[in-house]
Amino acid sequence: MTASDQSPGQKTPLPYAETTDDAYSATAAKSFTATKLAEGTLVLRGPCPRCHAVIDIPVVSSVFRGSRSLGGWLRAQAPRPSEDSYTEPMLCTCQDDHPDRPAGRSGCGAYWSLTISPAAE
Amino acid sequence: MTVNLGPAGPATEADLRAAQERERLLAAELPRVREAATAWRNGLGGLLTALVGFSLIKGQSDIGQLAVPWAACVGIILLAAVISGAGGALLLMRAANGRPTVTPARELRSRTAADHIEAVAAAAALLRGIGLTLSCAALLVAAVALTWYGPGRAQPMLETTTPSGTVCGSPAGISNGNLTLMTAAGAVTVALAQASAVQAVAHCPS
Repeated sequence: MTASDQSPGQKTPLPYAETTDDAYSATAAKSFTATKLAEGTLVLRGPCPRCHAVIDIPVVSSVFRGSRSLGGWLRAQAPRPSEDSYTEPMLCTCQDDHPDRPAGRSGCGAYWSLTISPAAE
Repeated sequence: MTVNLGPAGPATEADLRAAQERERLLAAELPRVREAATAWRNGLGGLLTALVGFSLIKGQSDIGQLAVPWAACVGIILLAAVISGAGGALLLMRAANGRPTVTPARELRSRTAADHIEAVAAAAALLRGIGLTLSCAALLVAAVALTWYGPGRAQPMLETTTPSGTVCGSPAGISNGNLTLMTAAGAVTVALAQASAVQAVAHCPS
């Protein structure tokens, strides 16, 4: 945890800052849970390592971008379950008040990466 | 399938931008699908309206002139076109407006993820709806083409027996007691008063 992090229970709003720390990844790996809602859609839920707001982060295998991508999107519709682990970039998406947050952004600015791997059956 | 979460290496600013972009894409995904579905629905609806409503393609008014199996084919193709068009319209409306169903509250986990799942379902419906609607248009065109270019129903033939022989052909008209038959050799006029027999036949003997 860095000096700019918020301790649990602290009431003063933490200022928005795009920051990362090696500890964020380790903390999130321990505290986040993964729920598979549908094929190709995971939801990771847990407290933000910086501001401690509980957040949901969807991890999806494909995104619809427009009619031009309809064909490609269809081909990507049935992704085979990945046998390999992969790294997913994450960021805080909380709606809490964080001063100095730019318009159109959410969260406190914390970001980190998580490795997602299929669990051994 | 369950997954394990583990720490990764240090995140970079590129990771931050990628995560922000993913968040932006997911937040606007469902409205994008709805917008695309509405545009496709309006476009394909206009195409079908032009084809059928304004008679851009028009078949013969009486398909009874077609040979029997071809007339049945036209009927089957038209039925398939109606089913395909109705299915396509329903799927396009489902993609544009969603399903009128209620979601159990316990299934509400993440709004963004739920919107993504709905966007995936809507995009699948959009794709199937486009396919079915275009199939409907193609089937309509095929049915109309068949009414114009399909083989006609065989004309009834008349075979008349006269003292000078037997004449067989399609009737072309009767005037002043004379029957005109179109035979393979051309028009032949037969005096009905001299005919000992007149009978309808399916085919003339060759």
